[in-house]
Amino acid sequence: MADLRREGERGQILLIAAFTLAVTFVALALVVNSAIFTENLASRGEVAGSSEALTYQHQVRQGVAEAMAYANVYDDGSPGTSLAASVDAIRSQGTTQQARAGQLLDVSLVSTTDGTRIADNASGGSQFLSAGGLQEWNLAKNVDRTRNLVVTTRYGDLPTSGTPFRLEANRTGTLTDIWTLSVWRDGSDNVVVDVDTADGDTAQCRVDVAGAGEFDIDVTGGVVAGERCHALTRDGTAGTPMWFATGIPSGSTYRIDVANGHAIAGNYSMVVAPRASWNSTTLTNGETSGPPFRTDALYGATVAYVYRTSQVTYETEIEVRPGEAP
Amino acid sequence: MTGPARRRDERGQGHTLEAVAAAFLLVASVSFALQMTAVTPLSASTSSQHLENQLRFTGSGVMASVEERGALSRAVRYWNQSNARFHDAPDGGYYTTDPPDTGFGRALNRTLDRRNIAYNVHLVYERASGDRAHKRLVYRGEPSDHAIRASRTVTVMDRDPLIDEDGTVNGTATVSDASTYFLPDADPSGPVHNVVRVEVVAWRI
Repeated sequence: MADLRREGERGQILLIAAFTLAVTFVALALVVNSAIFTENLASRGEVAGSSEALTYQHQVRQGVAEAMAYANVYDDGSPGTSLAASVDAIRSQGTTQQARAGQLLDVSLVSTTDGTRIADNASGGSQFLSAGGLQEWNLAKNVDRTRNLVVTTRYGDLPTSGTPFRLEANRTGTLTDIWTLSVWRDGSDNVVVDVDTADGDTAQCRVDVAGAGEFDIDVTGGVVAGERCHALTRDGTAGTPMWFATGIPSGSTYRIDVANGHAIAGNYSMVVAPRASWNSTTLTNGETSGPPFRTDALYGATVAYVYRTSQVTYETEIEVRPGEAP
Repeated sequence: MTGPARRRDERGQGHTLEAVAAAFLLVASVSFALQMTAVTPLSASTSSQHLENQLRFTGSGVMASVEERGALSRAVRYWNQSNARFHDAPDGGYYTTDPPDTGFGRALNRTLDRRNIAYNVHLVYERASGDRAHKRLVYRGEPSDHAIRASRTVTVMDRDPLIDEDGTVNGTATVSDASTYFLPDADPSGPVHNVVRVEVVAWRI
């Protein structure tokens, strides 16, 4: 009998041990899972989704910039009307797309800044001469702002260092405050870009364009043949700003001059503001004449942007001036 | 003698039962303990959130860099007019094994393919009637439960040129000229051709 009782007690102990184990495991599971869940919450970037508001704002800016480029090139008769129609389409289509993601948004055109597009788009390229054939000439005067100044050329069409192609931004009323860009080829497949700012800083960059064919010198963007050029952005060592028209105080206007225009060939284009700043004696009016020619264009636009979700409300005005130097 | 002998038999059965019960308990406990933290890189659970976050940021990073270079719009216009499908796309009209040979496709290949991440790319756009339409650009199958989505919206204008197979701009055909182009003009009276949402759905395999 004593043996039997002991065995009965063993069964109880086994049962109790099993229950204790089970409870321990359940408790451990709770602890581990709550730790994981806490970590999960902590590692979420941001819960409300406000970064989406900024991402979409960027996309609206890109879309409006494209619409503006389109209006300037294809609808130069009334670029403002064209841009307004585009912004409407971006609003209606973008809104439907985003509504499916639970986001409500509104985009509307607030105002536009008029400008003039100055370009030479001769097919196959041409020398950078004035409409009258001058090689040293003034392109625009009393310019307030310039954006998207891009020169497209080929290595073989560049001048040698003896007669570099020069583009100057010269502060109105002075002979000394000049920002100068000089471009030449060095004989071993490099294009050399040399910049002297109106502050007296100098920098040079050299980009290998071997086999590149046609390439762009984005003067206001600071990119040469797809590579960043420190002579057009910030000089590497001291971080001196070198951007287009650096050293010309904001608030003052400048003139844009071309020198040695006969030594280079290719195309160029830019948008300047205000609209009346183009030089009517050296440029022809309208794209059908020229090169070089000018057309009415939009320099910039302000777009009101509203973004709403159940958790975020964000409203701002977006300034769209693509390709403007900082 | 019969009494103690029977007891001994009964004790044997009891031990067997005990052993079976104990084995069952042990196995159940071990499997429960394993499930409690059973997290592999592939399991979709709250604990793989880090990986999902990583993938989500990778995805939106790729989209941001591609969009910044204008390559997203070019990828949408990488169209073969005569075959009425994307350049070099198989018969289904969308890419399955290799991504398209565009800046966008190469960026996806560099960042996702090389890390054993599968992805689908969808293009969502609107018709002039206002209906939503949807086209596959890359399709690799049904995504798993822990797939992430990154998207960007691209505005395509009426006179944007198509892109040739070698990645250069087609000098003659624009998106409006090409009758076989998949993207309809959603705004026939205005200069905007369409607004396309490019969605990448990515998941680990």
